[in-house]
Amino acid sequence: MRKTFPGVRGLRRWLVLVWLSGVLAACSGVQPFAYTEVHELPPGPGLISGEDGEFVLYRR
Amino acid sequence: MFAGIRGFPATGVQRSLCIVLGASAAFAATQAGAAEVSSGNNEVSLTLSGQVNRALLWADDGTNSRVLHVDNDNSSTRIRLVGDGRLNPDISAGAQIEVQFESNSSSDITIDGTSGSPDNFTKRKLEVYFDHQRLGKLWLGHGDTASNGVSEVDLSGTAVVTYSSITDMAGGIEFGGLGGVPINAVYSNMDGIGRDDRIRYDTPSFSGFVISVSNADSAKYDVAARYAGSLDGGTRFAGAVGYAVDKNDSAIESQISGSVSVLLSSGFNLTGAVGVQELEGAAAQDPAFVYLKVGYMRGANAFSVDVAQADEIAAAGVDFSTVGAAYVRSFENAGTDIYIGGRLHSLDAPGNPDDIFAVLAGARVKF
Repeated sequence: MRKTFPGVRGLRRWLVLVWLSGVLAACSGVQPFAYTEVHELPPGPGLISGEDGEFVLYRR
Repeated sequence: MFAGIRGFPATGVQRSLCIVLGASAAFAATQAGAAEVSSGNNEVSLTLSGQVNRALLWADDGTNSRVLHVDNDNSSTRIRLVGDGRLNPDISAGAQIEVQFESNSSSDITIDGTSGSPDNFTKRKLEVYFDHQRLGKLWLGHGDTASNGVSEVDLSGTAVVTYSSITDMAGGIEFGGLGGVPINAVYSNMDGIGRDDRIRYDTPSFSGFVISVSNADSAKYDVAARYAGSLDGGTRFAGAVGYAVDKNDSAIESQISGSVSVLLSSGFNLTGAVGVQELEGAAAQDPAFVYLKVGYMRGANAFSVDVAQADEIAAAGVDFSTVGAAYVRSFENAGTDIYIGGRLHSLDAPGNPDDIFAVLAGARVKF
């Protein structure tokens, strides 16, 4: 594991790497999907609220 | 404070929550007819959602062994209100209130059953946002900073009981018995700067790729990049990396961390996370952590085993390691998960304290 903090120059390299990964992914037929972070309420149905997983208190 | 979550006074939150819920219920009651005869023009909405996640935690610190009744901090008990509306064809705006209520949080309860969890709601999100189709999304208020979650990407299906934040299971149990060093003092997944009062901006998604920046209270800054993509065959990939600076933290100068997770169409999955911190001045410590999980998901069942190591989080020469296993059974149509996970923690430190063994078993019901 790298233990020396990379600094701003290192951060730029990280971002360029991630950016290139995104470009490559976009060009290789990978489709984006909506990832739900683990600390969020899970998507999907609720026991009582049903398919939407939430109660609609008001909508118009 | 990096990755900190602070509570706020009980009376204020409870009063606010009662007002919001009461007003929402009353408003919903008066508008019930309108909702039932909705024309399909869903341009404004107010929704309520939430979950309860309770578990039994059995812990053995080598001296004492006890069963504790806890709220599973891997995915705490909470409720959420979201109001959302469209300002024009390009811009939507909204407000979100999300609060949690953990009676005996699994992350801080000690072997004798003492918990630092407040007996009241504590804030998770109190924010407004504006979302432009082409320009991105802007948040204002208390909520996720840009780097929150960058160490916690996980597609294994077992995150409700174990993921890189392994202190969520039994973080308050102490090495060496009561009065010793708790697990959450020797391990951190260095997950950015957590939730805070901040302003945050996310770029629009470019083929699943998003960059976020935020500025939080007390001179905290962070930037993060995220990606989530899937192949036609069903294989999914997600990853994130973040850099955070907290000028108000007297110990930690900056931090970089990230995680990746891949779920193959066969159900096998692999998750990893790493992070390093740079401390103020010429500190002798060189804090770092690494986490690795291997799992298998088949239908509604998910299994995983994982390992983690954290070096010099608490002090120079103090190293921590842990190994665990987990099983989750999901009842997706009922919004329910039942789970069990076990974990063995070891500390390499002066005095060679006994290992800690913990098992967490419970259920999460999303209502």
